[in-house]
Amino acid sequence: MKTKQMIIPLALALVTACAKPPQAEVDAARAALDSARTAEAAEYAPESLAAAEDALAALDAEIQAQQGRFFLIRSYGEAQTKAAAAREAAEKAAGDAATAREQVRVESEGLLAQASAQLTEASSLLAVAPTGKGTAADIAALKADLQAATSTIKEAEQAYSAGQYKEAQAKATAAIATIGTVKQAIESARQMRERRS
Amino acid sequence: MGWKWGFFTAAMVALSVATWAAGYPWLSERITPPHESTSLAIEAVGAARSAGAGTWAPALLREAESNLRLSLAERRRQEVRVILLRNYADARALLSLTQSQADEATRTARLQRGLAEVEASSSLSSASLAVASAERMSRAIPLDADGRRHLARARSALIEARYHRDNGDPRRAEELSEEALQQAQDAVTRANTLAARYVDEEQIRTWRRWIVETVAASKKTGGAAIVVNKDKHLVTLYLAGRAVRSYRADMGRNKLNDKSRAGDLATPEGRYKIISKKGPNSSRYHRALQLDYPNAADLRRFESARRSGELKNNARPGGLIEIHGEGGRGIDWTDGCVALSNKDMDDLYPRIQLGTPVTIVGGDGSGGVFSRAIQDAVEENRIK
Repeated sequence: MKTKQMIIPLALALVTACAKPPQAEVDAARAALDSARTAEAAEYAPESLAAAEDALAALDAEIQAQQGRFFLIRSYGEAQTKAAAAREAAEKAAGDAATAREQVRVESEGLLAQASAQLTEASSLLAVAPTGKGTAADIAALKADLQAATSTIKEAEQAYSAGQYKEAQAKATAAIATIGTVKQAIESARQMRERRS
Repeated sequence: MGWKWGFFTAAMVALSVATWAAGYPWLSERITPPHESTSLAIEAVGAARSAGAGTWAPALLREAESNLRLSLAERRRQEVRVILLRNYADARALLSLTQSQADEATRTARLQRGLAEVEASSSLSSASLAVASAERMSRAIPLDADGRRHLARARSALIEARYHRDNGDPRRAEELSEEALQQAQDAVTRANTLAARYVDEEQIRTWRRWIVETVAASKKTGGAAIVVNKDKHLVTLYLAGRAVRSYRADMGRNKLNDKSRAGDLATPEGRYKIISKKGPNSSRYHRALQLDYPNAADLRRFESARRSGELKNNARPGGLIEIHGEGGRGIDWTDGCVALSNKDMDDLYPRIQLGTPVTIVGGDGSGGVFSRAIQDAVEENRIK
């Protein structure tokens, strides 16, 4: 009799305990999704982010469905599985975004280094470019072009510092092209001078 | 009695079977989960995302995604009910709405993206043409620092625009193309300002008058006269008022301006005379005919400019302006002299005496490197 008296409250307590939504897991999944968004997954890993959002939506649907049932037959086992899946998908989106972002960052860093090295080289070439009568190198004009390239590199560095790596890539690419044109002009002037002397 | 009960039971069974058979399609519709509609709706939303609806049709995509979430929630709500109470009608309706909204988002995204790509492509073409035109003009009319800055930025913006177009961002590509176009137009406008005197009617009238008077004097005296046209890069020899020979000539590096001081690298404009002839042994440039620059008019202009502060107090008018050899290079490279090829100089030199008049004009209004460059820019509608 005593045992029966104990079993009934225990069973009720178990049923009630099992009927609560897995709030900690749900919060963890939401936090993981927020982290993915902060990691710019929308720009760098849109498909992974969409998958994570869908997984969270499925979790919400499951919880709503269970909440609509009579409380004694609610079951949040499936919700727990879905919460884990949503969290995993959000973590994957954050990871994918970080990987893609890092790849663009490394590429833009490389382009920036290339642009700076070429700028130094072109400035040195310009310093010893042939001057005076008979040169085709308009030194002042080339200096203006190099100044423009310097400004573009600065803008690229600013974009890089602000984490706008694609913008930094575009600007570094433009600077490299401008410097290449200046180097070509200096080389033409040098060859002209050599042909004449 | 027994057969009655048997008959009644059979009738009831038959009635039940008939009722089930009649009601099954209706019931089945209500209680069968919408698997296919769900797959189709999810696929449609995925397709919309892949088509870039997040960027190009964000409102439509948001609606479709929201309805997909609602339909999945509704479906799940029904799934957990007792089977006979399930009704997937609302879930089906929502899934159908989701699919049509997602399809619409896909269509809109493709259309908007396509339009943006066309617009970016068109802007890029216009910007490319404008930059190329500004580059051509800058080769004819040397730009100052301001003009070079505009041109350099135009080039840079054009390269950036191409980068963004190639990396799937037509909107940014269009923005940068417009910037490139504007900067190229600013460079051309600057070049036009710098070379404006070559199309200035009053200035051209003055130059024409100088030429007419020079030719008339040659005719009257029966002697030689030289007219130097900076815009056309031509030196024309007149004998007894008739043009007998023209030579290609290179000018000062500061090709657009009249000479105002020593070291400004400009070829002077005015009416001069030959004051010295230098043969191969006395000229660094094969042979040379020295002009009387600065003459009285030049000195008056120089003093006036110094008094007005246009020129610094320590400025000097300069001198030693010659028509000499070693030219014919097709580029303006001298410090202000007029350079002919050695062959042409050999032809001209013996026909010229000390005192032969030399008139140097910017142009005569009938075309030339600078005036044509401006004219081209006007025709291309790039001059404001």
